[in-house]
Amino acid sequence: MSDLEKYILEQRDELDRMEAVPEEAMWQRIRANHAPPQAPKKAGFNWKWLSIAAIVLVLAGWGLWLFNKGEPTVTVPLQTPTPKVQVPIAEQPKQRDEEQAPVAEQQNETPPPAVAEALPKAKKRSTGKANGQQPTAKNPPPVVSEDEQRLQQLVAQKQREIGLDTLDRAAYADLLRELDELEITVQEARRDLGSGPQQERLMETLIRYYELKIRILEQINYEINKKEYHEALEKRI
Amino acid sequence: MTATENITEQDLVQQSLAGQEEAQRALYGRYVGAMFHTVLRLVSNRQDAEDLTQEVFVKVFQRLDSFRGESALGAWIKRIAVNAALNHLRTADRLRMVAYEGQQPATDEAVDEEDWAHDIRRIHETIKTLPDGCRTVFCLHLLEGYRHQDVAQMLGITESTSKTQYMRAKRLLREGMG
Repeated sequence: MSDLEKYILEQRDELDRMEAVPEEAMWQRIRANHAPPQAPKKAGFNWKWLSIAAIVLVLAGWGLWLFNKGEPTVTVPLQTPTPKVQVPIAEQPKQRDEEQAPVAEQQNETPPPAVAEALPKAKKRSTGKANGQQPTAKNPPPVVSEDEQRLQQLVAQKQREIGLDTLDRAAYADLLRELDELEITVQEARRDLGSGPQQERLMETLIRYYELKIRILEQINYEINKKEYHEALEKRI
Repeated sequence: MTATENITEQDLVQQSLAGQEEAQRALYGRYVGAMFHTVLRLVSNRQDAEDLTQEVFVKVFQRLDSFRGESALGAWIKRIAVNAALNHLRTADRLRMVAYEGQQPATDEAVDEEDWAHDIRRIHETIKTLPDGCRTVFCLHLLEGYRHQDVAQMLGITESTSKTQYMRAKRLLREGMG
């Protein structure tokens, strides 16, 4: 190390005092434009969380309704005016689901392809009824350890694909802000439902969280590809 | 002396997360000077440095609940600040490394034989005039303490390029100080 480097390192703290820092002005701008975090409300709920909870409840209710319909055999009324026949459930569930699911749900609630494999399993487990086990605080359901891990890997894979760490944040500010807000929401959900008898709701929320996160990451990926395509097109022109 | 002056880092984080404005202001006040200068040295423009420092602290408060205390709070904030500055330089296409074709000094001792003014203010001003690429490498390696291997990874260059750019920065700095 040369004398110049040694001298600079000795004066390192002095270098951080060279210029006047507009400390108060910057603080006022931070406060005006982006309020720092406020104390959590006593009630522990906010509108964002309530909307997620509502979605989860609708999904859970729908799942429960489907589950209750799922007897070993089911009576299926045929469209032609013939007598009711007994049809084994294994031959009919897909068709029945498609008929009964509202169109909006079919269009909007379809998980991303990457999640499709993990999601049904997670949802099935999250009901806790498929194998007769009810999740408790002492015995957390397997989705937290197994399926969450799998979904986390999917998320990590997507993040690697788009190079999230080196991504130009300014160019995708809106989508990245959505990701940040999603993180905050799920942190609140974990805090609110992390222990106690609401584990089932937490699981549903986590599944929904990963689904949304992967959707946003895929959207970023799409935007990146679109940008690259246009840049290549411009170069050709 | 204010009530938050002697507070520990951990308590400062907890109180900030709990929404105590005094703690948030104290956290900001504790690190804003160093972060502003770190960013200023990297982007070499006062207005950009102000805007970026502001963005950095918005991010810090937004993500404070994800701070696990595995590293010092200052190091965690510095990483956010450095990333913000590097993203800014990338967006402006200012991170191109100009090939160094000059004669490299054989040893550091050769450098020391030359006369240079021991004036830290002049060094500060001269650093700001260095070309973007080599200034970035110089600041990250010498002043922020990143190894060449890490600098190379952060800037998407080879370790060898990082070392060469560092040598170039030293040479230009010395010439500017002469």
